[in-house]
Parts: sequence; structure tokens; C-alpha cells
Amino acid sequence: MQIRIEELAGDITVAGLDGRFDTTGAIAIEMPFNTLANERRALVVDLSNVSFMSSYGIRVLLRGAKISTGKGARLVICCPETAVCKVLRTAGTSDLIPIYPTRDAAVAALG
Amino acid sequence: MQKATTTGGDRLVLRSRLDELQRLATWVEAVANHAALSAEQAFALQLCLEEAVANIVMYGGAADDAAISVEVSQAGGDLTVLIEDSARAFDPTQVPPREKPVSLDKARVGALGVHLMRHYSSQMRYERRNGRNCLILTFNRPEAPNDELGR
Repeated sequence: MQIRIEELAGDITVAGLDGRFDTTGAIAIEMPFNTLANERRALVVDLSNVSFMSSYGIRVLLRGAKISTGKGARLVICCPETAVCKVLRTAGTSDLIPIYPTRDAAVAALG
Repeated sequence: MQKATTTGGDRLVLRSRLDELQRLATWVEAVANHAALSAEQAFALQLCLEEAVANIVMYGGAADDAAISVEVSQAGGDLTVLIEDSARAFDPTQVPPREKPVSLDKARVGALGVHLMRHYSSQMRYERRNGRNCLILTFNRPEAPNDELGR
């Protein structure tokens, strides 16, 4: 699994995750993802290229969101596929981290 | 692509290591294709097996070379999966239902796997047989989905 980082105007960072966000994928990106959550003021986690999500992936997202909000920064999710979105809803993650259907909506919310 | 180890029918034997999860995923994909599962059923099967095996590997305390056996059988459109391991006794069906987190601060980052397995499988049974954990997951054939009609 990989993270593609894109810097936008307004100090907004988009972290595009790519691959299966399963145990193996989540372990692979956990450290760099935590670093991003720790350093960036406004982080959009783009899940459009994530085809699968397991509980470990959710843990990484929740930990990142905790780090981010703990520092007074913000972390939001955008563009999960239907199946991935269902996992996030089932886990209750969608009640804790804002999820937007499009990247533009996520960026606008952070602007 | 690495070929999955199978014995007999749809059975895979894994070692108790995280790097085996990729082999599991590849095998489950082949099983789902062979059984002509819908995308939704295939996702549920992938998720439950990933959670069950990752749990055994990460928390079971077994040696790296301890075997985890995964066997899939199909009857009348229902799919049954038997996961057998020699790790420490653990009955996921006894894990209390997860409380809905009320805030990010209070959200527990663990204990999600069993919650997802409960939700994505039709039935979850556990037996302790000859010092081994046997987890039996059933996936019922879904009712004819309306959203596949006329599209």
C-alpha cells in the first residue's frame, strides 16, 4: 500500500491511499500516516483507490484522526468506494471522522 | 502471483505469520471466483477471513510455523468456512458486543475485527476440539437483490 501526498492551497494536504487497506497494507503505511497526521494542519485522506478495508485499516484512520484533532488540526476522509464506505459505517467510524463523497467537498470543508 | 497451497477441496494451510495474509487474500479471491460469489459476498468472505486469521496470528501466541487451516465448503448456495488453529484458546463468539463510540477521544482502536465478522457473516460458531480452536463461519446465500433487477 502506498500514500500519494499532494499539497493544495490553504495549507491543505491530500493523502491518497492506494491499494488494499488490510492488515498488511495498514502496517506498511501506519508510521508515515501518523507522521502526516502529526505534521499537517488539514489532511484529506482520499480513499478512492482503496479497494478493501479491514479493522486494522480503521485503526490506522482512527489513530491518525486522534493525533490530528489532539493537536488542534483536522483530518477528514473522502471518496470511499461503496463497499469500503459500508465497512466504515459498520465500524461506526463515519460517526467519528467526517466522510465526504468527493474530494472537492472535503477540501471545501477544510478551507 | 503465488500459488495457494491447497489440499483436497478448497482448503488452504497457512503458517502463523502476517506475511501469509497476502496468500490468504489471493486464495479467497480464487475461491470467490470459483463459487461465482457476488462482489458483496466476496467482500464479506475476504473481510471475515482476514479478520479471523489476522487475529490468530497477532494475538494467538502460536509459533511462526504453527498451521492455520482454512476450509471452504458450499451447500445449497450457502458457504461455510472452517478456520482451525492451535493457538491459545479464543472464542470470538464470547466477545461482548461492541459499544458504539461516542467520540473520537473515547473510541477504542481495537476490538473491531470481531464486530465486523459478526456483521459480515450470517453465523459464527466456535468449538474447542482436541486443543484446537475451530471457528465456523456461515455465509447464507443472499435473497434475490432488488438492485440487480432491471439494471
